[in-house]
This record gives sequence, structure tokens and C-alpha cells, in this order.
Amino acid sequence: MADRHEAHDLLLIAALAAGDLDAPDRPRAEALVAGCAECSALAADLEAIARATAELPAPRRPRDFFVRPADAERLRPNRLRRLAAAIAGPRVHLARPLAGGLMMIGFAGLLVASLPGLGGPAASTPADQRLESVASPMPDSEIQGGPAAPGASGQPAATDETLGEVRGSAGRGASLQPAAGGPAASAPAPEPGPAKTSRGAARDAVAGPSGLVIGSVALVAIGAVLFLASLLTPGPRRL
Amino acid sequence: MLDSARLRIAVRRDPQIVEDLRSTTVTDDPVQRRDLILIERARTGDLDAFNDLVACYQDHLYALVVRMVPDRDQAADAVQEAFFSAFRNMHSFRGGSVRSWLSRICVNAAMDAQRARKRRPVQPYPELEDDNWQPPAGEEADPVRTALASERTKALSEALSLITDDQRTAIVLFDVQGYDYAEIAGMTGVSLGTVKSRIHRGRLALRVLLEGRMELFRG
Repeated sequence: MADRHEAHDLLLIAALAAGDLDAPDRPRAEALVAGCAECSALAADLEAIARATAELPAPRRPRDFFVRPADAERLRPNRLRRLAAAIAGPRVHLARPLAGGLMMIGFAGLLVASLPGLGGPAASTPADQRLESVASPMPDSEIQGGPAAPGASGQPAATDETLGEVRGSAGRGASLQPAAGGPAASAPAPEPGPAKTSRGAARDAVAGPSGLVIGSVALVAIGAVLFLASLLTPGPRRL
Repeated sequence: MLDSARLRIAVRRDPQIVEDLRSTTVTDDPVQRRDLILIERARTGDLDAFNDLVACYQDHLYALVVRMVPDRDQAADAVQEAFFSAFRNMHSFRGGSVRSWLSRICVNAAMDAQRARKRRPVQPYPELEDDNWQPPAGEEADPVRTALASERTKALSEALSLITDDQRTAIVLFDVQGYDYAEIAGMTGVSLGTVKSRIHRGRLALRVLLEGRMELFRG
């Protein structure tokens, strides 16, 4: 250890003086102390400082710190705090993570509900209204298998232009077959399935996402209440 | 006699109290058992029980806080605030050591006071000249020894006031109050390694600050 003391790892010496070192650092620190007089003096000084700190006299307290009845009355938790403690007290360690999770799920639900084609604002776009107006003249019973066969019912098919626009903007092209190329009779037979009119589909499209929105908002609200309740009760770090 | 209904009730009630204590912690330490009984009574609204706890720990906690916040008035306010906070949040006590729980609250109160102190800096340790800070001198005490101890206390207290709040807190909790690394980590909300590092760096800083006065500490 012929090198200069300034280059030595003083934290290592401090850790050695505190008895906090194990292999492989301990032999290295001991070698430093053995080979460097200043490191050796430092270790001795640090031990002396630790001893002196432990022996510091305790100052006398200037007064008592009792809780007086008036203070107690002021400090007793009110109903709101008791409720908060019941909801998100320390016995419920998962209050904040749970609140965060619920709010995240709620926000994700709101995001999904706002996507075009999934019942967000697009559900009530003029294109959808036109879709309904296209399908509405047809009785439900005549449109088995969906709106794929407007021509088959003898009704005049919507023009390519209209349907293309509807399909493009509403994003539900799969539910509408183009009228071009002849009547829909030449189109593949509609798959069997629950008979749904386009009006019914539109109703579902509006009803489903509304439920999603309501559910998402409810989740966010519950999460927020849980989080606020957990704020009213002391956290694990603070107490 | 043993079959009497009254005794059966009494016998049936006994284990409930034990169960209540075990709901917080199981301990054979009589001090801890006493503390748990006091806090259980305080939780039911017994203010005297809580003040018994205050009486038991106010010296210890004041000594802790006054080292972290080297201003006696601010330290006293912090301790009072800590006891208020403990009273307000008694129901959040999860068991274990009441002393550690109260110390943790006091450390938080002291940290708040440290932050407030930074905003309104005052002269560090103005009470160093106060007799309260001098080591007690017995009649048989050697005057030279007493003077040396007094000088050492002053020098060390002054140096302690000049290191960082984090380092001072860790050193006071470890060296003065005798908490172990894990307890300090729990109280201050940092890792075990950080606690060790703060203590080691703090001692190194103290040594730099005490350069030239180390003779007071040697021998």
C-alpha cells in the first residue's frame, strides 16, 4: 500500500470501523489499515467518534407532553376518518394498489368506449344515422341474417356511393354487402345466426358501450373513493 | 364453586384479552406487554392510559428529536405534535413495539421540523451554552475530566449540527438511541444499505469537522 492515502477508499475504512464488512471487502480494508498509517488513524478516530456520540448526554425536556382532555376531544377521529380507516386502514394493505388498479381498469374501459366503432362518439355519427335510415324501411323479418340482402327483399338497393360511405365511416363494412354486381341474391348465403336487424344492431351498439361507459365510470369512482380514503388514513411509511 | 356460572363467564372472558393482545403481537417482554395493554385501553378512549405511554416515552423521544432538530423549542413542538399524531392514529397501530412506533412518528415529526428549519434557518445549537447540555457531574467527579467531557460534548454537538439532516438522523438513531440498521431503515423509509452509507459518510464528515479537536476524543 505504497500509494497515497487520498486515493484510498475511506468509506471502506468507515465500514470496517463500524464492523459492517465481511469477505471479500474486509481483508481489503484490513490491508489498507495495516499498510497506511493515516487509514489506521482514521479507523481509530471513527471508532472514538462513535463511542463519544453514544455517550452524548440526554438533554432534559423542557416540559411534559401529555395530551389534555381538550386536545383529545379535538384529535379524536371523526366519523369520516373512522369510515376511511375502516375502508383503507392498515389492515387493508392493498387499499392504494387496489384503488390504482380499479381506476386504471376504469380509464381503460372509458378509452375503449371512446374508440370509433366500439360505441364511442362514432356510434352516433351521421353515417350511423344513415345506416339506420337505409335499413329502417325493411321489416325485421325480411332481413334475416343481417342487412346483407337488401336487394333480395325487392327493395331498391342503396347506391354504391351511399353504402361505401356508410361502410367506410362507420367501420362496420362487414355487416353490409355492396349492392354492386347485381342483387344480393347472387351474394353468398347469409350465415345462420341470431336474426338481427340493423336497427337492433344499432340499438346494441348504443346499449353496449353505454354499459361499458357506466361501468368504467363506476370503477374510476370507486377507485377514487378508495384512494381518498387511504389518504385520510396514515400510510405505512409515515406511521 | 368452579362450576358456577359467574366463574365460567370470567374464565371465558380471560382469553379474549389475551387474544386482543395477540391480534397485535405476541410478546414475552413485560415492557412491551405493558405498552400493548396501555394502547389497547387508550384505543377504547382511556386518555389516562395514553398519557401513561407519554410519561413512559417522553424523555426518550425528546432526547431523540432534540438531536435531530437542534433547537429546543422546535424539538419540543415536534415531540408534542408526534404525540398528538400518535393519539389521532392510535387505531392504525399494527402491533409490534410501541416504542418503535412512537419513535417512527417522532422521526417523521422531526424530519418535518428539519424541513421547516431549512426554510427558516436559525443559529444551530444556540443552547450549547445551556447547562441542560452538560454531562451530569457527580460530587466525586474529577473537574478536569468533567471539563473535558463538556468540551467534547460541545464539539461533537456542534459538528453534528453541521452534517446533513439524513446523516445526523441515521447517526442519532444508531449511535445515540441504539436502534439497529433494519429499524432505522423502517423508520426513515430507506434501504439498509442507504442507512449504513449515511452513518459511514456522516462519521467521516464528523471526523473532518472535528479535525484539530480529535484529542478530546482519543484516549
